[in-house]
Amino acid sequence: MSAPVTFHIPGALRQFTRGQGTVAIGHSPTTLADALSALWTLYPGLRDRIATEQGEIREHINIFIGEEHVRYTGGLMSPVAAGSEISIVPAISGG
Amino acid sequence: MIKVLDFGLARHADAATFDGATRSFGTMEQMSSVSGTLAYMAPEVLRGEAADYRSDLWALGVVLYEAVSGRLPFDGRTGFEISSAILREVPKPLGSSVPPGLWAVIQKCLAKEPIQRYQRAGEAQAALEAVQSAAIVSTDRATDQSGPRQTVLLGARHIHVKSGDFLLLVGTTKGAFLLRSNAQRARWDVGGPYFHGHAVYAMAYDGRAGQHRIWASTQSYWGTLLRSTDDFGRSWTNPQEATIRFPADTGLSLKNIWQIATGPADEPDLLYCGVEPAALFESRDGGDTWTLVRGLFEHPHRPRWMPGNGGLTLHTIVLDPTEPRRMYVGISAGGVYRTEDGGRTWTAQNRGIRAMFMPGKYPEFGQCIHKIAMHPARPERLFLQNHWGLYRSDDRAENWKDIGTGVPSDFGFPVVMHPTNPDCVYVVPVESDQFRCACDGRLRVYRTRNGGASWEALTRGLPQDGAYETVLRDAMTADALKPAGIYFGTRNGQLFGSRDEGKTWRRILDGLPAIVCIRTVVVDADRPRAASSPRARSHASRKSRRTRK
Repeated sequence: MSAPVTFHIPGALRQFTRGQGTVAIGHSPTTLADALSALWTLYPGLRDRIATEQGEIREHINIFIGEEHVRYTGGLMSPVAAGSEISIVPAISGG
Repeated sequence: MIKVLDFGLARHADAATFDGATRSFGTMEQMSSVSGTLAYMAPEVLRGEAADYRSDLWALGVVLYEAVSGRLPFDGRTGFEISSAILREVPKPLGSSVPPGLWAVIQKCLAKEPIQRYQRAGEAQAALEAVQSAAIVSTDRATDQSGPRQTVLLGARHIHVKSGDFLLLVGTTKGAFLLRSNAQRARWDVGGPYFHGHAVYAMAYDGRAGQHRIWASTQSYWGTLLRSTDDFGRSWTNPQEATIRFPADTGLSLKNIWQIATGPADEPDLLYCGVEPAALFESRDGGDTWTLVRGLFEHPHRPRWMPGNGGLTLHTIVLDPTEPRRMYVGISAGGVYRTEDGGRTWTAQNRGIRAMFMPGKYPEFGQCIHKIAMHPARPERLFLQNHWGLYRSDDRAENWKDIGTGVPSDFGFPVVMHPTNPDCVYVVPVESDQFRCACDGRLRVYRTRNGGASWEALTRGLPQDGAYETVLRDAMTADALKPAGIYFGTRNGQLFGSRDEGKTWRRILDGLPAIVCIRTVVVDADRPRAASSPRARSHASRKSRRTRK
């Protein structure tokens, strides 16, 4: 069995993951869209915080697979390898 | 199965009959003529006030707290210490092993004022059932609904609200505040910040059908949500799914909620929200579910509306109290639109309103409306603060007449009606669209008492030197007390109030984040409750219906 994909959950969203800072996805997603879909099947409250109602990642939310920003690897279609670590990070914008 | 046999009137029992986890204390009979087991007695009982069924709901809260933690919420070595804790202290949080929903129920039972508790035993029961069903659902990991339906905001200071109190709801770009006073409006307790860091552009009070519900919109990195509290800020709804969302076919995503409007008193489940990008949403079930008002969204003008400085927003909703199917909305920059059929069809109603930024100065639509006001006693008449221009319509927005003579600038954002005088309106002019600050650094409210024929400056108590303040479109309001109170907040976080109709002003608060919304509430516990209304069901129960699949 291949190594699971793991999400790192920011503190502000752990209220929706029973306090867990990391969440492992059971099956093997091939794209970021697959992985996110599996994540919010487990924890539905995450979806509307991370994505808009049109399914796009919110403007000020950054997602990294490993250390690479998905903006440069194909967005939601970014490939996700077994054992990947995916980080969800709010941007540093704002006033 | 837990059977509770005795709430308030317990006789003293030998301490040896109780183990360490469940204790009882000496009764008040030893100290005074008040009877009952001290640790379970409600604050109003200790104060010698009338007790009612809500005192029993307090006792239920004490028992629940004790049942889940093994300790009493209000403890002490002596009767005096216990009484003091009951009257003044907040119970210690119960820790992460207790479901947040249950903790919210316990806190609501243990609110110091009866009006802040559940108002019926059935409400407490429904809330407990909702907690129980949430716990059952969340044991199934594949469909985990464990996210909180309600959030108790730790770190926020809470106000203790009593019947007859007067409240100000203050939304800022960094959170919401609740201010409590009484009819004198002289001293203020400040609760908050609620949702600190989130922009709260819209707040509303809904006292229909016997409820005390405060609505707030919150906007942050994590999206925009509509939330509510039924206990004056102690716990707020925290929906798993955003309830206001654009349908897939629109291709749009919600950016912000700018206005929350309650429907008529005899339709307590009807609510509207004005949002950005400009659209109107409607709820017919008390805010549980919302639908896009297609009649306005599909108006042929919509593709040609243009965003103003604050975005393309529907920020104003005005309902005609005499004709429930008539409604006006204000859009920046789209103009005034009116429906006569409850939202199915809409017409642009901008005849006579200038659009300085357009090649033709009087287009059919495209005006940058800032705010519209109507007095319920004269619903055919409307006042309007435009992006340049003050206007009045006497014919349901068919025609608009310029009433901007006598103010230092006819640029501004809010326009507020006096609560009883339909000829009296307040505005706060700013210098220009380039310099959106009080003219000459003098913070002046202008009032007309003759429908706009003439205006007078109201300055007593307001800073008249170097006050480069801006009052935004929803950051001004009036109350319904006598004499009327007028309140406004500034972009620099100053909150001013007048309790004599604008004659004199006082700075209520300073140093808040930029103020974007103010609403007033007179808390009246004596109104009849519509027991048969679906609104009478518990808030928690309704939330769980919303979030359970």
